[in-house]
Amino acid sequence: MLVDFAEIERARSGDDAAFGRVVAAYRKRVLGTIARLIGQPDDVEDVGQEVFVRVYYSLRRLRTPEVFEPWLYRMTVNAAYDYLRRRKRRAERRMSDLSDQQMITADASLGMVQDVEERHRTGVRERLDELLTGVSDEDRILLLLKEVEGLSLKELEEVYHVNANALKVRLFRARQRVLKAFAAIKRTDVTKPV
Amino acid sequence: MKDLEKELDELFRAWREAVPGPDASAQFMPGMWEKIEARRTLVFRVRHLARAFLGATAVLCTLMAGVFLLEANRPGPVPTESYLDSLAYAHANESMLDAMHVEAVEGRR
Repeated sequence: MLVDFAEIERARSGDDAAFGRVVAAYRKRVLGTIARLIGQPDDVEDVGQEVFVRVYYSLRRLRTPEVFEPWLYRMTVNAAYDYLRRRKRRAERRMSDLSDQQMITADASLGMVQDVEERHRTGVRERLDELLTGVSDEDRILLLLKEVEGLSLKELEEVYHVNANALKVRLFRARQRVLKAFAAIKRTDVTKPV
Repeated sequence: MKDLEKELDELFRAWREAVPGPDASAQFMPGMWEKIEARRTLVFRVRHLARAFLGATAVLCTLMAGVFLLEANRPGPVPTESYLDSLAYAHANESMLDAMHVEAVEGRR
């Protein structure tokens, strides 16, 4: 825990200063998780604020301060889902508005702005994103929470309110799908003419 | 397959490093409090509207109940004729028809 239970209890009873301290303690972790889940650096802060606004209005419903961290993860995951759903709708609208030439121009101008390090990051991100296209948003987030955020099954159980066996099955299937996609990409890389 | 699993784990690790947690800007906290205030105002307005709607519904229900009770308690028309008079009036047409029927049978014979 990054803050003590008493601080969460104070925030829960309506102490805004205590709430501010809780946000200050957790915001970096929350923003990091969001950045990895949504993959859009420009929108991370906005989604992070949304998470804490929801936390502020739901804190009274928290059963006990001991479960604050999984509960916060749950809020973060839900806000990320909502963002991804909105983005999907927006993207569908925008893509239909752009011509092919406009798309090429947009891609090219984006490429010029990025520096080498950013390109490397984008490369890794795109590679993983490509692998994760075969799984649903829900499974993608579950997989990232486990493999990237490093949450244990017990913690995931508290986040999802689903029993560990069901999670294990879902995780196994999602990982198998990603592995299959990985193997396919590797095969393509090998057979690709140089 | 084992190698592939290892490579995938490595990719996940590289990805975590490639997407580090960003630091919040100076505008993060003020922006968050602004959103909290905006939602509080919205919640207050919705609650206010809901209360007004509830009040109006309660007044309307009371008025309708009053009208209904007044109508239910209003005395009906007072009977001025006796029970026998009412019976005779109700069966007046029947006896006339009976009389016509009898006459018609007698005429055929």
